[in-house]
Amino acid sequence: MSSASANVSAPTSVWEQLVKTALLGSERAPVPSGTPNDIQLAGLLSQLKQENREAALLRSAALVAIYERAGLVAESAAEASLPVCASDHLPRCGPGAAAYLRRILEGQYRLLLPEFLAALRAIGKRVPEEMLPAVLAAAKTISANLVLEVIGRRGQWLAGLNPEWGFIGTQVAVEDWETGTRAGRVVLLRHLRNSNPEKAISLLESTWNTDAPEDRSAFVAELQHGLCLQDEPFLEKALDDRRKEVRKKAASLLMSLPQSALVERMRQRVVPLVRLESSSRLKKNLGKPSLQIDLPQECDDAAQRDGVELNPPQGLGQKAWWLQQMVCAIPPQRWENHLQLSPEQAVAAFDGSEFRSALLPAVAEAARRHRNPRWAGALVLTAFQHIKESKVKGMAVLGGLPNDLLDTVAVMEESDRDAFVIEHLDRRGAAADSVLALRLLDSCPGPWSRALAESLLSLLRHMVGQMTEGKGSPFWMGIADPHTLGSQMPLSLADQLQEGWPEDATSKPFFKPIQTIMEVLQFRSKMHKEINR
Amino acid sequence: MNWTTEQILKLAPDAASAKAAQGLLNLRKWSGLGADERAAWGLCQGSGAKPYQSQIDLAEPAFKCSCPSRKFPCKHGLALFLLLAEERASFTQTQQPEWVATWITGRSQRAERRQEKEAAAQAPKTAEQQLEAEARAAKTEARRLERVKDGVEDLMIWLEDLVRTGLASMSGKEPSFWENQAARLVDAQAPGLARLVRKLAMVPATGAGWQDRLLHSMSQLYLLLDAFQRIESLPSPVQEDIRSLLGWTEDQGALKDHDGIKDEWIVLGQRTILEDRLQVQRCWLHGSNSQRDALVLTFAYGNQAPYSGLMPGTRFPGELVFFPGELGLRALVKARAEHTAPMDSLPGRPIQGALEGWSATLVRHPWLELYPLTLANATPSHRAGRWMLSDAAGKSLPLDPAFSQLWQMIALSGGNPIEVFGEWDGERFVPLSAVAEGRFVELSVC
Repeated sequence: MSSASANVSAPTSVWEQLVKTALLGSERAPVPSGTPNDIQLAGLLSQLKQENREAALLRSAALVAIYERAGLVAESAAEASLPVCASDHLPRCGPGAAAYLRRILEGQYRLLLPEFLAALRAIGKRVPEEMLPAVLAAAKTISANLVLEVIGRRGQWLAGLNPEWGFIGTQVAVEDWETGTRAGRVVLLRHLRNSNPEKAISLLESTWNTDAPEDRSAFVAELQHGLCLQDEPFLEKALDDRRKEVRKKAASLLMSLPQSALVERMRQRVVPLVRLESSSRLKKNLGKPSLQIDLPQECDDAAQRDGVELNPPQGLGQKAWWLQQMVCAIPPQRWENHLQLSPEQAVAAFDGSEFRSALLPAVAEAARRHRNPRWAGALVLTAFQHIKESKVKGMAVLGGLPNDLLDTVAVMEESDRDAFVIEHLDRRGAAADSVLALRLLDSCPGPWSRALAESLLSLLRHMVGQMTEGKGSPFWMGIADPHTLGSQMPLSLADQLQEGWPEDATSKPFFKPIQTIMEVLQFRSKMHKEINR
Repeated sequence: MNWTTEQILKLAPDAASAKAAQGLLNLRKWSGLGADERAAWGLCQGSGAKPYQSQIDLAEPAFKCSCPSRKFPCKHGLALFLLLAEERASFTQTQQPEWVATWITGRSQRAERRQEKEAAAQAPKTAEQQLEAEARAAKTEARRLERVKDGVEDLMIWLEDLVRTGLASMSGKEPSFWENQAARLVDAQAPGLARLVRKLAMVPATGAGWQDRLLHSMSQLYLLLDAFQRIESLPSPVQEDIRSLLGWTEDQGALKDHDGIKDEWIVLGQRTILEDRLQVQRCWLHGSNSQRDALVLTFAYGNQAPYSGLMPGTRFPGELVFFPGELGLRALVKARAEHTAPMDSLPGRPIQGALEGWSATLVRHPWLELYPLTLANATPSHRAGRWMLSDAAGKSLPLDPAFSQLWQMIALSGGNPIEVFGEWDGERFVPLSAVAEGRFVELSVC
């Protein structure tokens, strides 16, 4: 109240006295009787009826309040005003498209946000200003580059003002490296790593000793772009960093460089521990090579520096844990050379070994890190084999899936992967096959090829057919998320998807996932039509 | 009026309904879709055997559906409306089926009967009956007046007691402390006073400066009670205001018979809040020629969203009638053209000038709660962590710290001045709409 009036000089104004009295209670404090400086106000106050102290106080308060408000003068403008944003050259998307964006952000089709933004980018338009806060908030989980390109100058300007959106940084100039924000420096690093990786390293080194641990952690992560052997000296030093996060990231990056000294050290630690059994046994096992594996006896400081953790997680023996971590650092191709086996034979050998529960996940991670499609294929097949051998039926299969093995499917060559998944989608035998095929779809990055989508569609039709005949169970409702499936199917299948379902099936509960897929496809079609209008 | 998808979705009682309705947008689920100038209809396949009959009276719009949903409008009605907006061509039937014709005719008949009844109520048959009716009304009114007088005295003593013992203890009071007093006022047939006491209850929780605000609100309430005790000595428009504040309502039917103000009305913005289980929508308008400000209130209970037919960012020629009183803000739409045109600018003023409009109104009606301010050339700015709007004349207006669309407004501004419309409560400003680069944007959750 008193902030509104221009009366700053009087230490206790009439109003403040009234509030003070009212707080204590008129019982305890006398009603202020001093005359205010303002003669007019004093005159008005003296005209009030003074029945009892409380009434007097309340009436005075009402009068003073209105008196002061009637003469309200606005505060002066703030000195700290916002920097003016340069005008955008990209045009805004139309209101129809904005309406779809609003529905996406409201949560129903949130997973379609990357697709929407990519479509905007393709047509050279930007998000309307009033939707920028919502898009920036949602953008944490999607590619910063994509978001940067569709928020325009206004969006970058806005992001720079609010620390919560700091991950969208405006690129800092090289000269301003020392004083820029973390986000801005990250953007600069990423940019440099694409064009001039050594420059990025030299910038990092210039401030490394004084940068905050969170900064160092973020910067090291950026070195994954354009990673090459020239980065090794810097990363080796980072292995000694005070912050564990930085050490871990550096180790992980060095493991991605097959020629690095770290990988060589790991090789010396673990490769000799793994040997093919002597040839007499080989002949007996008829082509299934078996391995002799010794566990590592120590995990010294050097090993820990290279990223091997001393203490195992629950359920794993300590030495087996060390073995797993060390094997994980070896590029799969080394095993082929060392054991003189093909990838498929090598995987089979690991599978048949004493420590397969430690070794297979390790080899899978190595296959993913080095993007080795043949190993990935062999591992996925091995996973399938395990599942079948466990003789678990139907939905229960989901409980014991070796997810880390199945996820390597993402690393397979696209055509191989499609063929592999299609083969399993097309099987009409055991329910387990379909469960696994649907599970694999989760790891198949979209957009899918038409062949893959048609294969899925055919499986769905088969399942619905089974259900209407009273056979089969709706287990598949729990496996793949229909929203995800709908977001990855090619739009060209939208019409095909609508037709050809048995009449009595479409209203049944088990049809709901398919209904959802249809709705998602329809939404996407309309969305693209609206964006491109 | 041509409804857009967005406008239709706003009719949904909650987000779950809107989502469910969108799930029904598949034409495969619908059969017998048809529409004419008055109505739209269709059959929707649900999970049961028999499809649900859903229909819309487009004149209002009003919805009817044979599904068992308690929400209003139900997801079928919403979906039907959305389909009408998006897939008009699929509505191939033109002849109303029997179940539609019956309902529509029934509605027309009921509307006619209502009008007849009102006319009958206003024109009793004999002079004797008229005298009787008037005597009855006078007796009821006298009884009410007595009760209100008692309630007012009781409330004055209650307020004085609070001041005697001290306001410092107010922040620790149980909700029942306030609620008991409010309930007594409802019994005294002064629901307006009950509402003001419930508003008092919320003040201690408003953060720094609550003591000032509480004394302010209490003293204004006391002033109202003082004024009521002297009501006959006050000018008649002020009497209307006081009666209205205490809870006497206006006969809206009779009000519509008065002459209103014909003008090109601009819909500036709106805000819907929940007040005691009642949804209250405040819609602010401004007359382009008369420069008159108007507030249209629409109410809805529980699951329904209030619908006024007024869309912020549009303007239309129409006639508004104002409720009697000194304040002259609250109004009803008596007549209007169906067609609306978009707005690309707001009748903005500098901050100081806008505030002077407020304070001039305040001295005529001290109990003013919210006032519409339309600002020109306002830029969001901040000082010591508090956000405000600053204008070219070097003045600023503090923003409500709870204003949730702050970043939306900053994004629209880009550091440049924009036009902003919002509600001012005497201390803080809540922006509701803005015009930036010739585009009207309603600042809403997005």
